[in-house]
Amino acid sequence: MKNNILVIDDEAQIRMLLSEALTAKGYRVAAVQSGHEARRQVQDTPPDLIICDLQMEDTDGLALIQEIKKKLPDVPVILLTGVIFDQQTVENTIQKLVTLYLDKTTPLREVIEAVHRLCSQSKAA
Amino acid sequence: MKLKFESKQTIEKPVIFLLLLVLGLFAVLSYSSFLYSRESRSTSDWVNQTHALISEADAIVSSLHAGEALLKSFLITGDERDRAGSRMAYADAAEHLDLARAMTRDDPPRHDSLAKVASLLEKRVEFFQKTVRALPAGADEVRKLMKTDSADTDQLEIQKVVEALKVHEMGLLQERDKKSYLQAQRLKWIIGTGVVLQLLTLGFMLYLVFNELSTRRHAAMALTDANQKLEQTVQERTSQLVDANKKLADEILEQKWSNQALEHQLRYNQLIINSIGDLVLVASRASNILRVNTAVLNYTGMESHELVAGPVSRILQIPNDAGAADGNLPAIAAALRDGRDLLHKPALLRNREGTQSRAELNVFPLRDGDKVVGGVIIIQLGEKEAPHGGSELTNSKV
Repeated sequence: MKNNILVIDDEAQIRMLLSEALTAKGYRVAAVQSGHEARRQVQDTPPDLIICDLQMEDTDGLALIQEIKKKLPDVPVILLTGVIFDQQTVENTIQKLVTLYLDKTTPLREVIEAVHRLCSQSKAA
Repeated sequence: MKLKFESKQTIEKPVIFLLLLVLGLFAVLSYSSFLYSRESRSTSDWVNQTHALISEADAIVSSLHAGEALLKSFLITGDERDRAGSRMAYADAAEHLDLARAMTRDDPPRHDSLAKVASLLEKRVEFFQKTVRALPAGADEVRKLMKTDSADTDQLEIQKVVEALKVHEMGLLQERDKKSYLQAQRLKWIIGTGVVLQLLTLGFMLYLVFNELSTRRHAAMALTDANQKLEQTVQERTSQLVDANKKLADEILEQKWSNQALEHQLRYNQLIINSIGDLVLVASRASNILRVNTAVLNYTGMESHELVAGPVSRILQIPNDAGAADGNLPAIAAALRDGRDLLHKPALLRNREGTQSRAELNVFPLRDGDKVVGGVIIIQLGEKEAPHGGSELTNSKV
């Protein structure tokens, strides 16, 4: 059975590239550009994994993730953002809020591998 | 296809030739059998006729002897039955002679010899008639006739002629038998040789056909193998191409992702710089402007292309800067040359209209590895001065 991946990013190019790459690997991808659309999508089709940007027009990613986590506490979340945090901030703050933090300079291959890994762990759990 | 075509061409000619050969042999055998059959029929007729002739010749002699014997019996006994028997025996002899003469019509020497027999037989018949007529005259008359009769000589002569005829016919029969035997032998050889040749030809044809079938089977197997190998190669190549395409697609996606990430970072950094209210310039080691933020453009009222590549001194002056008369800013040049920060330096900033503002600048060298390649100049505005020496304070931030 295919995993449902929800991509939340206000940049169309990012959404398109992630959708194309994940679909090619066999995932079912829903890509939205705002917090509002993300909430609706989560309501309609609960995802198996979420990839979320940090800065969006109508909300910020961390707030949105906390909101979604209330409904889906076990869903793994990857924070994929252009904001590059230092290692200490990542360890002390970011990783407490999300499953994995990746900045957007991370190669796409590693992003896909991370999705594989988290989906496998989620299934095993 | 070419191999198959050539193979077909190769076997067609020999097979057609062999078939024609078999047909020719069959025709020769049929014709020989026909000739032999016709000859056998003719020989059989001739043999039957010859045997009939011999039989008729024997019958002539035996009928003659019977006639003579019955005549003598009649002369002794006077029994009419013997006379009638004698006359009938002579009539039989004459009849057999006529048949024999008819049978030898095409053989003049034998026909002539039988003519001699005919005259002798006629002579014997005349003696019979004379004797029968003389019998009423008494035994002396009969005895006188018998004294002059040459019955033994005539019978012997007839017997000799008949015997010669029989010997001749028997010789012909023997000769014909020999000839028939030889002919049968010859036919046997012809048929035997023909059958053997046909069997050999058919055997050779079978060999050619089976050889051809074997060759075609091998060719078909080789073709199948070649097709399988080709198919396997194509599948391998296709698989490699699919893998290569997939890899290429992944690489393209990766490249797009990298470009997008780079563009995003550049845009994000530019956004941050442009959002700073202080005036920020990037200058080269020669103190020429390389890049400015939005605050610079807003303050000076100039476009980026008007400022870039021009000297920093076009919009910035440092009071009491030694050596600034030629348009250079020696304090900034020295800081960049030495690779040190220049902090809180009072300066005057000038816009397009020539209005000057008091400002404070900070210079931070830009390092690429261990080299200083330029510097970042950050200007904090103070009070604005009129173009003609007047001054005013401003709190506005760009």
